[in-house]
Amino acid sequence: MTVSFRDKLLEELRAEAATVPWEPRPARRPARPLVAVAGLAAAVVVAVAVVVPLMSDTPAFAVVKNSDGTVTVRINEFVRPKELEQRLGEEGVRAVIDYVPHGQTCREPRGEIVPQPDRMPLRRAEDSIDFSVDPEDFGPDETLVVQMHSANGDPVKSHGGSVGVIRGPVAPCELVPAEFSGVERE
Amino acid sequence: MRLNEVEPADPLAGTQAFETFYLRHFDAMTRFVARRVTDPHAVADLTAETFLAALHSRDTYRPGRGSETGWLYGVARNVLSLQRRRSEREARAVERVVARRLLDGDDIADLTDRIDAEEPARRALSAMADLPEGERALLELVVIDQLTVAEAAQALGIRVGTARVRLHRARRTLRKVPGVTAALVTEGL
Repeated sequence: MTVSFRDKLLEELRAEAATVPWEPRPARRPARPLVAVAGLAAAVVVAVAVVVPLMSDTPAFAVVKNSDGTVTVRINEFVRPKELEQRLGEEGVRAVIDYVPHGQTCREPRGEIVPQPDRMPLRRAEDSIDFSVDPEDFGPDETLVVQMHSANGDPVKSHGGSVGVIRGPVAPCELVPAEFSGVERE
Repeated sequence: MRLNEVEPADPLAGTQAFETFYLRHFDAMTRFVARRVTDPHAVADLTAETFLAALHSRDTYRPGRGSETGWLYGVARNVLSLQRRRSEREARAVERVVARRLLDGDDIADLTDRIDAEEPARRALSAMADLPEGERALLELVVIDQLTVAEAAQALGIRVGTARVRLHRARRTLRKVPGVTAALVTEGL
């Protein structure tokens, strides 16, 4: 009897699996995921606020190009979103960043949401929020859309938000009360 | 009975666990791909790519936050969507594991059988093509791929409640589409 495709592929995968590190890698394994969402509509529903004290002398954000081509964004403070957009643009990611007051959100939908589970989990690090994106993942007409809010308007106290991808034009953020955002409620 | 059907604590914890994971899902994955592409070589490549992607993104799976099935379908959807984009961009040079070199005549016949068996599913998928993306993706996973609503929601990264709302809406829309059978509209919803 000949060996089936299933078994041949198993051999290939076994060889590949032998080359990867199986120990948990702390840097890539967030202890507490904040929100990991595919679409913005869903994101707004699940957005959570966590208390995160921030250091006052850290930069507002950092954008780091990793050796595997991905780009890691760390946000320490919700200020100067346009600068972050520009910085991401330099790394080949078109982005729309909005920092909105607590209790408000951008009116949904802002465009055609691209469902991409686990593509860019948003993580809470020690004193910041970070997420990674792969510029190669984005189609020519796709935009990274990030929305963050801070409790009581105080960016150093707590925050929550969403990260998603929109295909085609992205509507400007029209602020609406969070409970009337047009997001489906259960 | 599905009582006590518990998945391993971490099905992607090591090489042995990964092999078991692969064997557990191989058939379902080839069928998932065969509903969406009709070339046996492409089915082989995309099945291989899905498991490779699962291997390399294993740390995005978090035991206890949903089933491995829902997670794997999410991975598979990403692989297919990237592949479609590659074709649209006229085959940018991408380094790929080419599984088709593994295929012999029997394998191709076997995959072709699977592709043929999925013909009704492909027709149903094309009937859904005009639905809004969010609704179509859900309906696909629940009705065609037979995932539970919870698994489909996980694969798409949305909440179960949101999924139910969208399914309800999709069902209402599809009722108006000529040629869509009642079974397609109601099954699993």
